[in-house]
Amino acid sequence: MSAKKIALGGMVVLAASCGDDPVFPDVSLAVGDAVSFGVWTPGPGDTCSAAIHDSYATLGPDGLRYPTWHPPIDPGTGCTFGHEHGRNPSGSDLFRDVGPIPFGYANQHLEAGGFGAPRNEDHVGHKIEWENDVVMNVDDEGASAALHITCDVLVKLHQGTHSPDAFTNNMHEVVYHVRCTDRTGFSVTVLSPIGTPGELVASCDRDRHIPAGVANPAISPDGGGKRAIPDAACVQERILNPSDGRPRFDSALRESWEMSVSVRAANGRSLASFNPYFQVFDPSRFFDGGQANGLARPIDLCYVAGLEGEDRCEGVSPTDTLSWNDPRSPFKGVRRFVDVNANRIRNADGPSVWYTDALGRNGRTEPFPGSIRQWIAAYDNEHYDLHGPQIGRDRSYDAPGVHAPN
Amino acid sequence: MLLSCTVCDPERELGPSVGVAFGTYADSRLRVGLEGGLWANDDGEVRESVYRGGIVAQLHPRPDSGLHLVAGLGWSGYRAELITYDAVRLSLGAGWDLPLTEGWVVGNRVMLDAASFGSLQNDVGEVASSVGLSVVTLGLYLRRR
Repeated sequence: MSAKKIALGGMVVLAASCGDDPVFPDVSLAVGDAVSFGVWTPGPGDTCSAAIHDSYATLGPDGLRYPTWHPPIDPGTGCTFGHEHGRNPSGSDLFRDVGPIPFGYANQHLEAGGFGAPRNEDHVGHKIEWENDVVMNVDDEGASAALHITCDVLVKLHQGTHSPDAFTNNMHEVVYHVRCTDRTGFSVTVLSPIGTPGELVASCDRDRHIPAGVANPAISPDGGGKRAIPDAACVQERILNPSDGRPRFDSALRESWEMSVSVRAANGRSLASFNPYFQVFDPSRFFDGGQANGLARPIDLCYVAGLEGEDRCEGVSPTDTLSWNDPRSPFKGVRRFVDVNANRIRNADGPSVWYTDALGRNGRTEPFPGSIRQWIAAYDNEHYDLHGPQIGRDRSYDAPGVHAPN
Repeated sequence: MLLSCTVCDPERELGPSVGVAFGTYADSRLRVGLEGGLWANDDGEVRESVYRGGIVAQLHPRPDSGLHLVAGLGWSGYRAELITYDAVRLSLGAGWDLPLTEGWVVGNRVMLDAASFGSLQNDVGEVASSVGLSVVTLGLYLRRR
């Protein structure tokens, strides 16, 4: 087994590997640390040290050291980190090709690419999901009878559901890898605006836009899609005062971040686009304009008269007043799934490698300061509408020690 | 019916088929003619159809036997709403004649229609290339002597 690393224009790339196990660049060769590295420190109930946590690192294409996926329990010591990053990406069929996902890579390069302000995100919000051999839906008339297209999908979104960040801030890092049997394929890392900065959309009424403050950064652009987040009115309607008297926590406390992402050439032409919905049950927050920072905690609902032990509060003892970040709270955002939705590429003439800014714009064929390397298959799938189903719907990433913020 | 390509539905679909042929005797053991036929299936809400047309020959290796071999060359077309496929087709098969009356025979036949090198198209363009289409038919026929 051997690996050869080649430095090209300041980039360290994997050159070769052989044998059964993939070989990735040695993180000890890092020329420095990314802003996202080393930001996690253990909380009161977390038994792992920061050093153990930081041992889960990968080398970014820029040669910097980045945090990456780790299990919620360190297998070497048995200590707990108190947070999880979703599904272990090493089980994805794409992992051999794409390697560990560096968390915060697009954030790192935002300003160098010409954006006028930084945007850094916390560590625990990076969430991975993947599925192999996903049978896609081909919606065009007749195509569903004739075609059978499958895709391997590996995605990562920074989706914090514990803080007020997403109430106002719409720029979130997404890493999206997809390879399909029809040659549709791309690997994209961008900081994508989701919906309108400074406002959220009520998850129980998508027509209700709720101003929540000033986004950080204030120059965040509008994005397509929306961040549908429960608010106090949703809680009132579906938990506290449901029409049939039956509280429905999953209906009320469900976030759906609905993205509309495109990677574009410098002339504005779309090279690849996708619009996944990242959905979360049991977030540890909902929006309440009457609270400081608009931040309210679902666990408090379990102590409202009439709701003790009901629905998602089952198992929460009325006599134990759990704090919002208690591992015993059911509200810690560990039940997640992704609607893969559309995957489009318009790149028949190639090349497969494009360099864009962190927002996925200004795509060129040569790297430039702050650019991010994107891979897009030299293919055009405009002849049919390729949609993916939900993945991960039945999974929970709960584990011993996991608690909000997660 | 089976479509074959890297992105084609791998399930073989079952459905009814009808056909008609007109021809003449080239000699006492060989018949030649023109044939056409249709196969159809409902896949969910989508109606799939395969049309075929071309020339066909039937050879009796032994004049006193009902056994005959069938070969054909022609066109096959697949349709599923906006999805289309058209390609040259080869047919091979065998059958057995059973006398019914002085002027008619009945029989059974197994046929393989195979087409390749076509592409699936829709109203926008090519959906899949290097597509094969095969239809296996088990049938009964009525033929005038």
